[in-house]
Amino acid sequence: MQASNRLLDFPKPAFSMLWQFMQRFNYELAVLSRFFVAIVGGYFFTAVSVSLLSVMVPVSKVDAVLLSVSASILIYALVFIYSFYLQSLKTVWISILLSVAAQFLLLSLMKGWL
Amino acid sequence: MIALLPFSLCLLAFNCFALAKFNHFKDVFNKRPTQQQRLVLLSIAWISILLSLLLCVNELQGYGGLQFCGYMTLSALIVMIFYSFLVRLTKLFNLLILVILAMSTLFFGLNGL
Amino acid sequence: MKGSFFRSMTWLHTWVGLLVCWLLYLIFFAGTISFFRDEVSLWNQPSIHNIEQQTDRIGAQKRQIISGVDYLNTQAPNAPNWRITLPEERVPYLTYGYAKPKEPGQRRASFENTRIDPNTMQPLAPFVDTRGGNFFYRLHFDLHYIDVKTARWIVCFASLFMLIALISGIVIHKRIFKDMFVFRANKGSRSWLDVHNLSSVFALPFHLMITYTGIITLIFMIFPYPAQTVYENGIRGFFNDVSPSSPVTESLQGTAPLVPINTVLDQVYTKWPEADITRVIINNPNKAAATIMVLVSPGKTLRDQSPRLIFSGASGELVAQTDDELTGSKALYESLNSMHTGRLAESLLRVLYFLGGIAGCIMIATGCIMWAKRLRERMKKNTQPSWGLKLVEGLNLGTLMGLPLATSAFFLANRLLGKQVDERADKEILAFFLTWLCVFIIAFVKRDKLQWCVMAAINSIACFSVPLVNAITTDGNIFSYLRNEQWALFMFDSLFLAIGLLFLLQTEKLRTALQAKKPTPINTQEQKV
Repeated sequence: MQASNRLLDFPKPAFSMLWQFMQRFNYELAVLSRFFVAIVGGYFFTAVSVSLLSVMVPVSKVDAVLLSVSASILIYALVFIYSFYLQSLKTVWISILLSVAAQFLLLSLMKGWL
Repeated sequence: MIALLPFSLCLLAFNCFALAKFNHFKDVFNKRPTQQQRLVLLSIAWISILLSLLLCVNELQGYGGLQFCGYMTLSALIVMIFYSFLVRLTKLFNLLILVILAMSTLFFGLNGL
Repeated sequence: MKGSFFRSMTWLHTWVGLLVCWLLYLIFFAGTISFFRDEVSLWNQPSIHNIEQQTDRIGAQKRQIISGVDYLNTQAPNAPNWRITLPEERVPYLTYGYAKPKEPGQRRASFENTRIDPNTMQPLAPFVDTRGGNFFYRLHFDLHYIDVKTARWIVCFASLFMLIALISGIVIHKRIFKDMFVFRANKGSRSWLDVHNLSSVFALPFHLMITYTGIITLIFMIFPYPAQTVYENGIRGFFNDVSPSSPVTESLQGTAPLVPINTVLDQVYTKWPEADITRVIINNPNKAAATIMVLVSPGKTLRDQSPRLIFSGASGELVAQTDDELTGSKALYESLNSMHTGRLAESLLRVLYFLGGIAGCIMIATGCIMWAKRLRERMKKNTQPSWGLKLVEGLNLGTLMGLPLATSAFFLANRLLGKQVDERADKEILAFFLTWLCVFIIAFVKRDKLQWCVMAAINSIACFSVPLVNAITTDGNIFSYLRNEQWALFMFDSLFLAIGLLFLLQTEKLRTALQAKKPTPINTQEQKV
């Protein structure tokens, strides 16, 4: 949990107090951020990928739901580990946000919500 | 008693897995195992564990699979207790396993098939 | 990358473990006891101790159902729901029950149950109000004193963290097969680490399975989205599709006499000649919308949902049933659920499940203790322990010594509370939590080796007193159980004696350790410096 966990790679903002706070707790904030993306980001990723899975598998409705739901925890666990696997916190955030958005878009298209 | 065969096979398998490690072999036989001895032990281990799985699943399908996992857990525990705490008794333990295996094979042969 | 991944996995393993280990200990502790919840419920209910084993349990079921329907027809012909619960291998009594009309504000109707000895067909002595094994069963996922939904979310996330801890643990224990049987005694936190590794590795398949499947049992609460995506009316639509139901029959109006139950049972036995019927549930008896649902035991198949047949109560024809052949997905889901609940496990496998559960408790407990020891070892000499260390040590003592003591208190309360006390079941549970709270209070005042030693001694006394109080307050005791081959009760009492002995050993070990550490004049001199 070393170099690339710095959240603060941008120019010093005007509010120096906030800046100082974030500098002092940089490590703790990075840890919180990683847990947040793992837990919350992972939850949304799983939710959307498992819904997408249920519409994509060519089985009956009941089977689709049961299959997706059985695989959901595996997906969640993998995303969680992924969030701690990559060195760069920024990459983790961006990749999860993008993939969730992309899957949600795909799901909306398939379900005709758009 | 018929259940004894898959369990004793499992026990034999974990025992051989343990003996294939240098430190445990040394504890029991007071010398390092040769490559060939290790190979023989590992082959016996893998064959008996797969045989055990086969017997369990053949008997009761899904439930048998669960039973196999249970046997693995219990065997691992027993082997672990002997090799960590009762090292001096491991020779006797090995002998006991072979005796149980022979008996249960006999039982199986007479009743199970 | 590998080195850094290893370190981040180590860090992750410690943190996810630490955040929830005490809650996980509670879950594993209560869950492990729940594998024997029928036996616990049996022990808690003295009126059913002396029921003899039926000689032909399955053969007697038809008779019991017929007399049940007759009884309920006489007692409550217009009740909204009748329920006949047949004796099982581990539940020796027969229950005939009918639903009482719902009070305003009640979520579910309460039942008027008559319990019967299946051998004599006579009503049993009145039951005492106790939750029995169901307390521990519910405790491990509904927790207690908090809203059920919140509790389940918390338990789900704790279990997810457990799964992550297991996976990261496997990654960092690279030498998983090389070091499998290593144990270094008397080396401080290293010894605890070895026990932690041993207990995790030998039951690893069990730990992975029970954690994953545990979350699956609650999966529709946390991920209703696939059902909502695929079905227009969301999760309700899904549930209607997945369980057999009879909407057409249920919408009929008017009254109609119930068909003789024989016609229904004949159909059941034609389809499944060796059926082991577990329950017969009759909805809206004596109405046109009546349904008769017959559930049979899934036996040793990996099915969690009992196979069932639903008949129209007025006409006696079959209107719905569970699938005979399960599709792959259904089989997968049912297997996962049945693996967790372990209802299919008979004696040997059930003991192995229990063994796995105990391994899980040891794994979590040694993890907690090792962390506290590590923190202490890293502490600089002659400084005060940080609040973090105090918190960890306090929680350790409170949970690891408190839960067993609370359990003994629960069973003692069961025997010592008067039979007619109001809200008796809640009072037993209160005894459990009050005892646990007391241990926590002690732990937060002081948590040294002395307190551990004292708590171990108290636990030992409590464990020994459970079979003792049982012998005094009921007309059976451990010797009579052995004589009469009442194995469940015998094992229960013996287990308490064995655990009491273990606590005694712990007390002795801690006592000798305390004596060794007693300050001599030289030692105190060093400490003052």
